Amino acid sequence: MSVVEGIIAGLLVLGVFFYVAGTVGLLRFPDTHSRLHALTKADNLGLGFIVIAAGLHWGDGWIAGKLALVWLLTLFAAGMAAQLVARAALKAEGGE
Amino acid sequence: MTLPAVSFSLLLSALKRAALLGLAWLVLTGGEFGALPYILITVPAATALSLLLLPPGPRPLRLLRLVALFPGFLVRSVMGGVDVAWRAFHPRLPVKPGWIHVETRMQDGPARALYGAETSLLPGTLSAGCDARGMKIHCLEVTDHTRERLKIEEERLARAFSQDEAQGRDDG
Repeated sequence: MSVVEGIIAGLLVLGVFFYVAGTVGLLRFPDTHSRLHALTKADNLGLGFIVIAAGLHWGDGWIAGKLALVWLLTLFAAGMAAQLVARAALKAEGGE
Repeated sequence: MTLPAVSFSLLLSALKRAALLGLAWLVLTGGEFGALPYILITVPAATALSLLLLPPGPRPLRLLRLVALFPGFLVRSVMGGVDVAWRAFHPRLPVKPGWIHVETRMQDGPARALYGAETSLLPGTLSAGCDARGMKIHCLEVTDHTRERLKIEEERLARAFSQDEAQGRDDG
């Protein structure tokens, strides 16, 4: 296993760790909004690590760029979706 | 005369958006030479659609300022992920959720939406839209620093979105 492969493996493990953390948070946190915190923040970070790992694996600038674009759009979508779900959940709870 | 000024700012917005979309096209096609001519169709079409769906507001977006904010945002969003992972795995589950209201100086919809999205990726905060009292922020743990941190973040983003200076408004 080369050094790069070792780094890629490490990044993948980190990525999966944060996905698991997001899921554990989803299961353990007490209310809808706290659960949304876990999903939004931890999963984005997990995807970030996996994107870097995939970019290193292919070792191609264009593919890395494409992966970065995918991650950026996901980040954006996650931030927007979190707000929409949070607002909807608040309404459902009779908050507003 | 106002007409030339309006069309100039529209042209500038169109150019900015076309440049971004052109870059996206290059990245999506992997710099393939054969895909290059199609940029003449895709980019004008996408730019027109973008201007139609989200007409440029009176306050221009400072793209370079926004890009300059990105590294710092990245670091803080990593902290957000680490913070939430730590809480999720902690045996005693250190989560004391609560709500705060934060008055915002973001006047434009897109600026406000992006601020909310950013807030949702920062440690411990989640935006749930806004009402007459300002933005509703859900916190994993309400601390004294939450409000200050959000204020600093808003200040940074407000400058990138050319939002006017706060006029002595205070938090509710």
